[in-house]
Amino acid sequence: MVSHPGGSPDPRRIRRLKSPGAVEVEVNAEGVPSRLRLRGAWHDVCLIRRPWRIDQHWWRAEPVSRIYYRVAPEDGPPLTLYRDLVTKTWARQEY
Amino acid sequence: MRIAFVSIPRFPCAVEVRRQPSLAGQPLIIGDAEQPKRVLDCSEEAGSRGVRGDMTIRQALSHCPEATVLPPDPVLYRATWESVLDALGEVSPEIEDEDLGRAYANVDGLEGHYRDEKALASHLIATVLDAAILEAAAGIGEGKFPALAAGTACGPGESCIVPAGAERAFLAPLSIRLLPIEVRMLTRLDLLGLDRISDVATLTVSELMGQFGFAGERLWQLANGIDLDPLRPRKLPETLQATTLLESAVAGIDVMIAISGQLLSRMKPSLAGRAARELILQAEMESGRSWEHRLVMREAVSEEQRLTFLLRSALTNFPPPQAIRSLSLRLSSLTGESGKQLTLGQKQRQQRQLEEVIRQLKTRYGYSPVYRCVDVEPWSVIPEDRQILVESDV
Repeated sequence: MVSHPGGSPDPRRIRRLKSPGAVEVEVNAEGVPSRLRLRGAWHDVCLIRRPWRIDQHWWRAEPVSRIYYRVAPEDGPPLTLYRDLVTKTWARQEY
Repeated sequence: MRIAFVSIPRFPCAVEVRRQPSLAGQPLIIGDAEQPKRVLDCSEEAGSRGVRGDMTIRQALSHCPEATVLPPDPVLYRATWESVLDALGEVSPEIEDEDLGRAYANVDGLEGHYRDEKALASHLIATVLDAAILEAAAGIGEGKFPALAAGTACGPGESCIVPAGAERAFLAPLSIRLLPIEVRMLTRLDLLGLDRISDVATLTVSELMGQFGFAGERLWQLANGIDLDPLRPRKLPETLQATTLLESAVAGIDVMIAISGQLLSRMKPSLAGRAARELILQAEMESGRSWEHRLVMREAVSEEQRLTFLLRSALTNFPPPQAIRSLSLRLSSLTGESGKQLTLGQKQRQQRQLEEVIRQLKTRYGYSPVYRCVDVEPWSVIPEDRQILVESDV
């Protein structure tokens, strides 16, 4: 393989919009988010829409498999979370 | 003039075997990047079973079903060959790059540096081995064709010398297929029942000219070991190159177009006042193999708008076959910019003002904090795949 003529990637040059960010989530017995940690404090959340699942790029080396949840904290605007079924992690994302 | 011919037969296959030694001795077919896929190169084992260049892969596999078929890795082949040419350039200042795996070197006057021409040829083979870990064959003769015939007569790692004055005798028993002439001439020689070079050499110039016109004279010269074709030393054209490494593989053509536009913007200051005749897009794909697309323009182009259009067309019409991990843009064969009167108007002024502001911000912060939002896959269900922010460069 030919080595790259350039240096390390500069993340400033190209950015993705709506990149997900890691978030701490607690789930209830059904696996649905019940608590969420925002700005260092835990908040109870309730589901405001039925969860939806996406499975994409299963033919590639980095498949995408997620279940999205639209939740509302008790004292804040609604937000979107997803459970990454590949890495088994939670993330918050603008949808 | 004493010329050395250095050859690495079936070069793409040799490079693939170097990368994956378990392929040695196996029938191997390398496809090209066009559609329908055709044979770019094949190993000797596949060749002996009837596989020929320019066959479709389907045809080739019907001849040799057990062959391993690999996609091409043009960037690797070219980089490897360039390293060989650079190394040969250390031995002789005049190297002609005939094709991948085939080069001529002017070795006139080098005899004083070596015990004899055999030692010189061995040094050339060792040079290639050091540079690319590939075994080359070397032939030395008076002129290009005798050198080529000598180099073709020996196997990898071997050399063959045709002493001055012995060209005709050396070439006599060889097949006419070795002659660097047009296919229609070879076919005609076949029809005339002339199989060996000696069969052609015994004919007179006027007899050959009667059959082939002026080309007959060159044919007679070649058959008699006279090749007046001059060596054309390779030139090292000035090249501008920029590369973007991607954090994750990108498959969308629109993203690639956006990235190529950004690469072009990065080159713009270096390109100032000059125009490019050749545009080369290279990518490293998800599989680790490379992709390349070359575009030679009829006239040198310097306008960013025109270059952007060419990049867009190239990526739309000849997209990489897989998702890519990096994209490089090279502008080559640079020339002076030819004058063209552009319309001056409000739009250009605003554009210049914007560029100036971005330039100042870049100087202040070390990078451009201004971004353009580019739709990539607005229909995608994955939010982060829908749009990207591209640094607005000047």
